[in-house]
Amino acid sequence: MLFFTWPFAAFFAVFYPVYLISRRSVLSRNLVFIVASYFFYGWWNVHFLALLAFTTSLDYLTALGAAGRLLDRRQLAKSCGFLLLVSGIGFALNGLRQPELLLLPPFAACVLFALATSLLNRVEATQKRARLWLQLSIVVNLAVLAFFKYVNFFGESLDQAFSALGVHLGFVALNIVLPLGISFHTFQSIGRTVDTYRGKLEPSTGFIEFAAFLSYFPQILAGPIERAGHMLPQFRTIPPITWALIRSGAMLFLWGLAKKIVVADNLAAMANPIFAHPDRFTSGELTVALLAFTFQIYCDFSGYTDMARGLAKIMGFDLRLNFNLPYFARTPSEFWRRWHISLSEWLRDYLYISLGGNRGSKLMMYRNLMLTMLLGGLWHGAAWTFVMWGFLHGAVQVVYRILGIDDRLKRVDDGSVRGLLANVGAWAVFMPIVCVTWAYFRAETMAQANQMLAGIARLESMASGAWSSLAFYVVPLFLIECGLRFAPLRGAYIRAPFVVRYTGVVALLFAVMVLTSPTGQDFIYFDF
Amino acid sequence: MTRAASILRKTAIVVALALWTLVFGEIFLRVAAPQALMPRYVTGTPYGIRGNVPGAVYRHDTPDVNVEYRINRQGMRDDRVFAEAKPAGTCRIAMLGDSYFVGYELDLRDTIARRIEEGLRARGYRVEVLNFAVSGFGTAENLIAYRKAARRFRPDLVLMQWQVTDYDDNVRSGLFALKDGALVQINDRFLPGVATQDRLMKSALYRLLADHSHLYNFAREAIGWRAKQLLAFVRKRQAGPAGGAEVEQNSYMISPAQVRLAAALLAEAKAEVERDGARMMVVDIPNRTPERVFSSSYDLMPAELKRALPPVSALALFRAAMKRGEGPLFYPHGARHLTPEGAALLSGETIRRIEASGALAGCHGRAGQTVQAGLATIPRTGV
Repeated sequence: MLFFTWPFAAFFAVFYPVYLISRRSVLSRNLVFIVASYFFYGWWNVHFLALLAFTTSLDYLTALGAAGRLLDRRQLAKSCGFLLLVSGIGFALNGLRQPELLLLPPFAACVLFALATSLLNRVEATQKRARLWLQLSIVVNLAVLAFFKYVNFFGESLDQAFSALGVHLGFVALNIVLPLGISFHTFQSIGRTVDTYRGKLEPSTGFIEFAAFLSYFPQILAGPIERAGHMLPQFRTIPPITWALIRSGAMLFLWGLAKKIVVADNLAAMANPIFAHPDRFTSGELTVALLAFTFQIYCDFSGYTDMARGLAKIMGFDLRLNFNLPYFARTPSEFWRRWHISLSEWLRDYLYISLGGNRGSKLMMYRNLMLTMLLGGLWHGAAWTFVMWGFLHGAVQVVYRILGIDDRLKRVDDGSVRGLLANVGAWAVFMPIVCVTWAYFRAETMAQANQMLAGIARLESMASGAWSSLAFYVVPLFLIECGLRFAPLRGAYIRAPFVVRYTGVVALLFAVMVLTSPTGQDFIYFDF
Repeated sequence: MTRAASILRKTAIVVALALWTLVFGEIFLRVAAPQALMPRYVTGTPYGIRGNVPGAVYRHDTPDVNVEYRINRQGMRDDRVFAEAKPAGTCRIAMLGDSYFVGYELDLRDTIARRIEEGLRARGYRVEVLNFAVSGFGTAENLIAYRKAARRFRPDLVLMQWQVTDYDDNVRSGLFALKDGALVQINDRFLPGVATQDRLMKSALYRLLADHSHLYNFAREAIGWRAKQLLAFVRKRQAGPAGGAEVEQNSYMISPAQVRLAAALLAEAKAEVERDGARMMVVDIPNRTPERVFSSSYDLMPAELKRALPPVSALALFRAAMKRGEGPLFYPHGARHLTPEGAALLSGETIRRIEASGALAGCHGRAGQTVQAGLATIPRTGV
């Protein structure tokens, strides 16, 4: 159920009044969230309702265990009861078919939970017990993620590698459907368990609030990857809803919608045919396609995030900022503080720091950076192109660290003309690098990306290509994003006469109605 | 401020904002997304389906073209009026179809009808082409138009247009249905929105909006498109089970039941035309999407119909032209009809098939004489 479709509009029109009524108590509100979110998720495929419930049940227990607590039967019963209830509903919605897929695994999971509780409760050393629970959470969550996302990739890659040596493994690709949003909610769930293990978060014994948090429908499919420390408190209170909040949420949603269906989808229509056959196009056309994708992916993903944040605002909730003008970044480290912030910070806090972070020698730091970026690339998808994308970002970060570019920029960034020139120069060097990495991110194969970049490097017929069409979408995007982010511009808009603000909203509405791409695209990040 | 004054003030603000929204919308569309201004001059006919407004003169203004349309008093897009009696020694071709055959986005000289006529005359045929096409028609309306309008002109050859929208149009019109496998006419009227349109067309302001407002044209197309889709959806459900899996073509979901209805309509049309002593050919408009690929929706038809009524297909020519990098065959904007190049390819193939069929052999003479003779038979009475 995409945010910009009629089914979602109908869903939200029914949900919102019920939600407002349910706000009389935290429990009823959270129960409404769970029902609505599972309905939202199950609309796509009822088969995976049980998987979401499994992650919820598992991490409810592991977070408690990772905090060093001894688990009791009540907590176990809550977990298993919820898992079996959701599985039963999924089974019923599936026409009572496929019990081996929809009922057997949840029962087996409950046995696993009981066994783990029984065994780990016997471990007397609290620290050891907590670590074992943490390991259980990480291993099981990553195993589930690996099964759905990476089995075919690694199987096929191994098969190809051995084939080159004359050994045929005979790997047969499995017909696996990737559950929507699995990478997002798995990371969110692991993050919470790690936080409780590290003592940063007090685990709650409230199952309902955790289930509502993990399945929260505005962000379940493509993030932001929320931190339990930021979100769970919101599920423990009834946040106020004001007209100002609703207005601001609706505007954010509308802007996200425009970014997605007007800018991203139209740019996709420009980029897709060229990426499909890079050999048929001139350097100019290839450059336009690469730039079109550069802005497409930004508008696609940040558009989704804005819509999610807007919806959450309308409900009185606050989702974190996920993008902060990333294409204004002058260095890779700045880029990753602005692009997909929730993932970058997750990778930093749970992977980079766990690997040793900045501690240890410089060589170790570079290794940690590379590993983090490589795994970050692989997180996006099971393909060598994503690994290459991660590798390039890692390599660029290492080079910038070695050269100390960030420190140099800080030293000259004093508001002087020299500082301004240095910033512009750094940006002008770094942005093309970002664009080059997007070629690997977008291409179906490494060869296609290489062909694309080689074609651009020929620098022939650079004037050809739909430069004006690109500018038609990118220039207004640039102006509006600046207006939204830079406080003086935002303030000027807020202080402007009513008719000006009204016209701004009407212009956005007309853009959504009139400029929508005839060829709609799914959200790119739904594939991850 | 009194309560009444306050209400008046608020009302004035709301009205002013509404007006500003419309004015701004018009400006926005003109600047950011100029629309194709394509007013439809259609009205009801005595035989219960739509027809071109007799004597209408109007323009279509799209980002690609600006075209004038002149409808003669018989409701055909032509600058001539045809006598019912066929001139001696002259063959007649009746063309039945929708906006493609009307020649939307094409000057009269570039329309398929005019190209076929001129092409055949140049090859020595004494021939008149009578264009009965009306925008929005499907096969069901083509069949009724043949019965009620074209037949009395005694055509020797009927060219019936086929394109993917016909699958939906035939169901949407609700004129015919299959009952126990037999084609039955279940309604004798299908005049969607015609009464409203007729009323509106009496207003000069409405005509001004229809002819010149980008906002109005955008709204009409958007609402009309959704209304058409909704009606097709409802009628498809009313028509009963789909009879199997639907196939997607050009963003239309086509069910086996729709294919059977379309095939039955074409077979019926062919039988009626042949009973009248004429021949019928189906001219297949290639699917234009996905861009640069082209396909045929006629492929979905049952094999026996394809054998009995092999379509005039310019698919191979279209694909070859694209491969050679020749200009666009469909306009990229507006209602994306055929360009003069696309119409020329389709007309050329149609002429080739007509000649090969021998359907007009009786009207063939030496080129110079016949063209003159042919022109002499056409009374130039204007519209």
